[in-house]
Order: sequence, then structure tokens, then C-alpha cells
Amino acid sequence: MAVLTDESLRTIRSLAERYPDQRSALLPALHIAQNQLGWVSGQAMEEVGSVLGIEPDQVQEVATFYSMYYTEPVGTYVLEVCKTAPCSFMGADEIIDYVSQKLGIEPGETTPDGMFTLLRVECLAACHRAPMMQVNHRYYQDLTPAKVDALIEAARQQQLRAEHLPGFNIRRTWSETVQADVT
Amino acid sequence: MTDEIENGEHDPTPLRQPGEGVPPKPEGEKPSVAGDVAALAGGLKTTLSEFFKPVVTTMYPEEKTPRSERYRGRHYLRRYDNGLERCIGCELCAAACPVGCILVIAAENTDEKRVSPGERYAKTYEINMLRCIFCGYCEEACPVQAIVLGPEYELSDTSREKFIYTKEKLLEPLPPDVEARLNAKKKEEAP
Amino acid sequence: MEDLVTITVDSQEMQVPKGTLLWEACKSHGIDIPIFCYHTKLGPVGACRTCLVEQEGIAKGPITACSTPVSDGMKIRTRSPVVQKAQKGIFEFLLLNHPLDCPICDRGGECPLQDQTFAYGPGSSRYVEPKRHHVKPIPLGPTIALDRERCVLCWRCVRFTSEIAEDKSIVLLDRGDHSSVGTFQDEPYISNFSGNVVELCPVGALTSRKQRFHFRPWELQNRPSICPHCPMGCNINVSVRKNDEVIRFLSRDNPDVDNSWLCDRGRYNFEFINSPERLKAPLLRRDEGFVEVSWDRALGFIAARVKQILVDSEPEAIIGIASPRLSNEDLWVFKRFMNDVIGSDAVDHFPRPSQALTGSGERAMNRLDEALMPISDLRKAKTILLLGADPSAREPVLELHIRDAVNKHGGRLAVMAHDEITLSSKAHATLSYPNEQFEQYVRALASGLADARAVGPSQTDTGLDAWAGGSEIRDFVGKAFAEGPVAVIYDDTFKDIRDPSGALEAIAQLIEVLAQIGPVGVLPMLDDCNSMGARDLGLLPPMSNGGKWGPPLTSQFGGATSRLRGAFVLGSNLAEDLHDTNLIAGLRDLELLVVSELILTDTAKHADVILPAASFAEKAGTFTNTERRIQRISETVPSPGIARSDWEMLVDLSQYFDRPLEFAAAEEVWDDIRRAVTAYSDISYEDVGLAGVRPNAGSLQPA
Repeated sequence: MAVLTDESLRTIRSLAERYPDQRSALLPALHIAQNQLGWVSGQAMEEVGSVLGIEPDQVQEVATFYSMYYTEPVGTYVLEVCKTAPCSFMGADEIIDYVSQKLGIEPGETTPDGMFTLLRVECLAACHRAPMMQVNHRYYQDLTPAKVDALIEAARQQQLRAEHLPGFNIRRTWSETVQADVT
Repeated sequence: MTDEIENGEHDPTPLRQPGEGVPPKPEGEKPSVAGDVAALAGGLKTTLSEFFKPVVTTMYPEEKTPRSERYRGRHYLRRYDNGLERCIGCELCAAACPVGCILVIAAENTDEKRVSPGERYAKTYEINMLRCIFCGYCEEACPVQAIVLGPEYELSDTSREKFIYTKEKLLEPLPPDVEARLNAKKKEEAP
Repeated sequence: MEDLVTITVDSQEMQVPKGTLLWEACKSHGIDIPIFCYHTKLGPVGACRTCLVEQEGIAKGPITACSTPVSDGMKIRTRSPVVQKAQKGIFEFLLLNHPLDCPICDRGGECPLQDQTFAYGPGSSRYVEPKRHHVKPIPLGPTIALDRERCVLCWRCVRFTSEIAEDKSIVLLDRGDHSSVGTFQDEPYISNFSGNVVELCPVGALTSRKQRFHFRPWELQNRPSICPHCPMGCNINVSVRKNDEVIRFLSRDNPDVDNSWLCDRGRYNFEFINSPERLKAPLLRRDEGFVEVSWDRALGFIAARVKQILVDSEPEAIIGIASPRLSNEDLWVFKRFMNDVIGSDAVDHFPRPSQALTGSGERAMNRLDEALMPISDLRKAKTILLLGADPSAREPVLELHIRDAVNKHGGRLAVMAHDEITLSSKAHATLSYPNEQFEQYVRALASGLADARAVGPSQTDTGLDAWAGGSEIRDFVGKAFAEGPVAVIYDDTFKDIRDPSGALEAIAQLIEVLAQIGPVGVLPMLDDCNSMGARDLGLLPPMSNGGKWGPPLTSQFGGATSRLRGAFVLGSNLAEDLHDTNLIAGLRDLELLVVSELILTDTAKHADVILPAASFAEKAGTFTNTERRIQRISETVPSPGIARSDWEMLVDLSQYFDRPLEFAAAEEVWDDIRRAVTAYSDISYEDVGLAGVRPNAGSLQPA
């Protein structure tokens, strides 16, 4: 049973036409699949592969390589805390431990209510404002435990918007821009 | 001189032939009673002086001499405190053995049948004690301190077959004092 | 003449062909540079960084010897302080998370990581933190167990599955310190070639589930032999423990035959050698069942019974059927025994096509044999045509040769098959034919090709246009054939074909057409490891017209009119293979049935005398593979009990007759073969050597 909608498949095909080699469209195609499904399932990998003429195992190699693709289902809010060196020096590990403790989940897990997923991710290019995390394609920078509290509270209240979180230095991310552009 | 010996020309004084009488004493030495008594007293003095010294003879087998900690007697296979066998069946003991008296055949642990803590255990472990030279290389080669040479040296038995020590026999518990000493030397816990 | 360049390595000057990789150049001159990811058959990838060397004049630091081609005047240092420091660092890094569980690792003792760390690595590690742990072992498939902790991420398994075998792939998932080997969505890794990744793995990360913990490498001796499971004749090393137990088969590189690969069927089918069911002494039928007897007793009984039959029957009342899994020496002594000692012409090998060939069929067979090509010439072919042949099922390593030819040497693959086969997905053109019409399709293909290339007159009466499959064939011809040499692979067992003669004629006709266009070579897929030898030695019943492909002797069993009174069956399980109740009754009716076998087979149960035979691993001799390469097998383990090789027992048996055979060693039998069989006359037993040899070595030449 196909999981990708005709529209998604059409978009992927039209993207692929922009490249001399169809497989070049793999990364945006995976984004499209993830936007539709919320994550990239094995079935989705097979379908993306068949459109672009790539073996599904190679699609999986790429999808697992980048931390931006979720190969497991995720919650409503994905808290992706940068774990690379600059953030780590600035206390990212403490932030991760704090979130982990607060939500009662280990990195890579989702809360039972399906609200939050905590992930440790590779560098998100905001080292000058470390430690930072990305929540649903928005950057929340200069984190402290207090700010994390506020952020999670705001998310619980369905009010995760910039105006409710002063001092966070929020910015729109590249991937959000790209997706707006693609879709 | 050397030549003489080789040629056999210089014979040593021949022993007395059977039935030949005792040769007469050399002349000039006369028998003396006082001299004989003095000699007897001299001997008794030595006997008496030894009599009151501490006894050095060990009455084996009722008594046994203490053995060094590093004495290498019969082999034992040890267990962890939780009862799992230490031996992982790696066959390094068999590889190190200079006389090839150890046979190990390994197998894989399963969750249902767990013999040792890791993945591998010794399904068969046999030592041919008749061939063993008690060098202790097996003990030295063992990465998990499973095989040790204990203090026992009285290994006599009634048939050759009984000298093939099986795994069952080797897994008999070590004398408690030796086990305690080994544990004290290197505190290890079962993983 | 190749271009040579001069390079200097550690002040040793060497001349090597231009473009050679630095590592290969050093290796060919005896300079050892450690490697993990590089493999001669897989090419460079530069993933492990252990092969770092220093090049004079390159300021940026050490370079990887495995991926750098040599250039003229290069000055390389392999043991300078810079290199040593780099190597020590890399090895320390590789061992960071390596569990060092060598005592329980199946690789321990033959592990490149152990060896090279001893030779080049640091004595100790500065890493004292806890090591990374994974669940282990993970069953990657039915044959392979994966230990992620031991993996050094060399990509060899990944490259083998994706580039060489091109089947269910092993992939490298995630990134950085989380990288790990796995399969797509954890599906099991099932492949015809899975055992090769165990051999490729430079550590103990991939181990064989079938042999897990069964042995330690230092207990084993590797003895060269030939795989007996298909006519490819892949070279193997038989690993033997304590001189009496076969533990495993390893591939042995012979670039012309197996290119260092071995299929799972060959690799894992060795248990029969150690089987407790093996016959250990001759068995003689008594009323109460079989009883073990001495060789003298068994052979004396056979001789007496044979003489009794010969008193009032023609010698042809006794027939001989041998299995093509026997060595050339066995087959030859058997033929000599039947022909010269008993005087019967009736010798055959089974399995072979279950019909006699007609005269023209035999001529076609000879014509195809003239065009026999070496396997390694597949890479010279521009077109490889599979005619009803499926290498993946019967000769898996041939599939790898075809993939190599297509992927790396620009070959074009055309598949004409009844059903879809594994290689169909790789083909540039496919054509499927109805099962009954193989011959017609091949003939139509020949005429279609002749039309397209305008060589000779169209060879079918009706012409393609009037023919049902005409347009398909035209299409196939258009797509399939490239300019240049053509290699034709056909299935010589003709299992589904009623008239092998007709099929052979059709293929020969196609070869004629192809030969007019360009060079053409033929590779038949035969039945068993020594089918070619059995044919070359003439284990075929003669026909009245002087041909040798008479009706198979198996057809003589059973029936009231049968004149048969005795039979020698060597290694052939006729009762099971023919599924014929008549035949089984026929076996029972014989006055004398002698069966030589490894175990008590269904056929052997009907025998009067069963002789215990030595398996291929227990005797010296030769096999002739599908490309007519003569290769040597050797005695790797002693045979069970008093079992002996077939030729030895036949020589002993002949002593009871008037004209005994006198052979004392396999070499002497071979010399006798040389005197009688022209094709083998140029080759001495010593010539065969480790790599085997092809007589009158033909190649992919214009016919």
C-alpha cells in the first residue's frame, strides 16, 4: 500500500526533473515525504527510491545519515538539541539532561502523550548562540533551564510563538525556508 | 695416567673374593677396652643430643608439609559467585599447553541455557592428567582466571581412564582457603 | 608494452606499470603496508586510513597508499616517524570502541586487526572511558551474525553486496560515531553469496552462524582443493582440524575461475564429509541384511559373480554407470576396468541428457565444443547471451563473472529464458519463449540475426514475419547484440527439452551466424563438477554408427526384455534421481549390483555389494571444469574406516581377473589418460598445479 499521496509524488517528480541525474533530488524528496507523513517510514523510503531510481537501502543510508530526517515516528513538538562541540562546551549536555529529566524521556524517545520528542542532533549552525535547540524548524537559542521551562510550558499551552518567549533569539530556519519554497 | 686407565693396566685393588677371610689387622695396633668404651660413649652422646632436638620428620601421609601459595597441583575450573562458569571456551589454555593435554570444545550460550556470562562457553573441557607436566601455562594464558592449579598432588588412581579429568570433575569447588586467597588477590564480579 | 614508471619506496627503486595503485606496487615488491578497507577485488575507498604513507614534497601530510596511483619519480616513505605516528594514531582510533574480546572471537588468530595492531599499532590506548556497547550478536540473516562492537567500518561487506553480488544489500546506517552496518529496515540478509562477507570482514564483526565458536583458527590447516558442487570448479581451501575433521571451505583466489568468490552452496555443503552415516567397510548382502566384510571378501565375491555371468552371457550384460562427481582418475580406471577387464563397452555417466544424440546432434555438440571459451574471457565479450541458462541457480559464481563483465568491462547482457531469472533485471534485452519451443526460438533468433546483419540467406523457411514471435525476436536482436565478441552460455542438461539433438543443432546454427559477424565463444552449463571430464574420457555408450552418444544406459533397466544381468554403479543415486518404479524393479532383478557410495543411498539399498568410497576431500586426482580446465583435488583428511577411492578399489578388483590393471598412484592413472585421450595429452600431472590448466587453451577468437 502506497503511503505517499499523488501530490507528494508529483512534487518529487517535478523536483527530479530539475536535475540531470534524478537521484540528486533525494534530499528534498525525503523532506517532502517527511512533511506529509511526519516521519520517513520504510515504505516511504521505498516509494521515494522507486520514483528516483535508487535502491531503498541506499535511500535509508541517506535518511539515517542526516539527523533532520526522522526514521521513527515523532511527537507534536520535536526538541532537537544540538550536541556538537561548541554547544556542548556551552552546556548542551546539561540542557539535554534537564529536558530528559523534566519530560521523563531519554534522547530519541517520545513522551507517552505524543507531545514531545527529544533528539540529540548534529550542528545546526548557531554556535554563536549556544546552547540552542530547534523546535519544529524554529531555533531557540541561548538556552537556560528556565527558558526550557518556559518553552515547554508554552508548547503545552499550544502557544509556541515568538511573542510569548522574549529573549529567546528565535529565528526561522533554512529548512523551513526551503520547504516553503518547494511546496 | 689417562692412558693407563683407558688401557686397563692400572687395576684398582680387587675386592675380597667370596669366602675369603677377613684380613689381619695391621700390626702395631693393640686392642684396648677403654678405647672401645670411649667410642661407644661418643656415639651415644650424638644420639642423646639429637634426641632432645625438635623433630624434623613429617609423618606423611598422616601429616603434610605446608605448600607454597604458588604450588601447582591438580587443576580446577572456577565459577563466579552467581554460579556461572568462568570458562569462556576460548581454548587459549589448550593453545598454550606445551604437551597438548587439554581438549576444549566451545558452544554458544542461549538465553534458555546459560552456562557462562558471555556468548561462549566450553561444552567439553578435558585434561589428560597423565600427560600434564603441571607447568601452569594454562593458568597464565586464561583471560578470565577460570583455570587454576590447586594444591593437591596426590592424584593416584586405579585406572588410566580416570586420569582424563572431565569438566564435571574440574568444576569441583576449590579448597575454601585457596578460593578466598584468589578472590582477595583480584576482586572480580560476574558481569 | 605497458608504460612503466619508476618510483622510490624507502630508498628501494621499483618499476611498475603506470596507474598502479601505490599499495599494489609496494605489495608486489614485498613492502607491507597495513590495510583494512582496501581489497584487491573491491578497489580503493580510503575509509580506514591505515595505509598512510609519506610522499616527499607533499606538504599537507601523509597520503593513502590504497587510493593513490603511482606517478613517475614519486618518493615514498613507509616507515618514517611521520608515518609511524599516523599509523599508531589510526590504530588507537580504530580500537577506541573495539571490545577486544579476541578470546571468544572467531576471527581471533587470523584477524588482520590483531596482526596489524601488533605490527604497526601502539602498545596501549589512552582511552580509559567506557566503551560503546551494542546488542550482540545480531542475526543479519540465516547465515551471518553481526557484532557491531567489533566493526571498524571498512565498507567491505557494503561494497561486496552492492558492487559484486548486487543482491540484498548490507548498508552503512547513521553517521559519525553512530555508524553501523545493517540492512534495509532490518530485513534478513539472504544471498547466494553471504559467506563471502565473512571472509572479507577484516575483523570478527561478521561471522558465520553455521560455524560460530566451532573452531579456533590456529587449530586448522588449510589444504587446497576444488569445490565439487557445480561444474565451475571454484578453487577452495579445505580447513581441517586435527587432521581428521573438515571444518569449513574457504575460497582460494584463482582469477580465471572464481576470482576469489565462493557461493554459499559450495561453502556450506561439507557436512557430508564428516557425516556419521559414512560407510566405513564393504557391505555384503546376506539374508539377514547387510554385513560388514573385508575388502578381500567383498572383491572376491564380486569377481566370482562376474565370472559366473560371463560364462553364458556377452560382456555387455554387465554395465557400468559412474557419477560425474568422481575424479578423472576414478572415471578412467572404471572405463578401463569395464572395457579391458570385463570386456563390456557399456559405460555411461549419469546424470546426462536422458536421450541419445542423433548423428547431427553429435556433430553440433562437437561444433560447439570447438568454440568453447574460457570463463575469464567473458570480460572480453561485448555481448553475453544466455540461452535458456540460469547461472544463479546452478553455477552462482558464473553470475558474478557476468555481472563483472557487464559492470566493469562494458559487456551487454541478453537473456533468452523461459521464465524470469535473477539476471533478467541486469539484462539489456530479454526474450521469453514457451517451454516447448526453445529450438524454434533459437533457430528464429539465428535467422533474425542473419537478416539483420545481412549475412547469408535467411535460415528459416517461413521467415520471421510469418512467425508468431517474429517481432519480439526482431526487437531482441536489435537491442541485444553489440559490435564485438559474443559469448553464448547455454544449459547443457536439457532438463525440459524433449530433443536435445535438435536444440544443439539450433544453437550450433546460431553460432554459425554469429561466427560470420565476429568472434564467438560458447560456455555450456553442465551437470556436475566433472561432467566435462566424463565426456572427455568417453564414459558414453557407443552407437552402432560409430558415434559415442548412444542411448543412456539408465534406460536399459527394467522391462521384461532386459538382457542385463549385472551393473556397477559408482556414486550415482539412480533410484532417487530417476523416480522410476520400473528402474527400481530392474535394479532388484539384477544378479549382481555393485554400488560404490559414501553413504547408504536408496540405490545402495538394492545392491548385492556396497563398497565404501572416499569423498573428493579424501583422495588425490583431477576434475575438469565447465571450461575444460583440469584442476587438482588432494587428500585433505583420511577416509573413514577402510573406505578407499573408487579407482583404487577397481584396481584391486581387477587383480581377480586375467588382465589386471596396474596403477599405484593417481599420477600413473593420469599418465595413462594422457596416452589415450588426445585432448589431455600435452598436460602432465605436475602441470596441473594449484591454478589448473586448460589444454589447447582456446579463447574468444574468430571461429
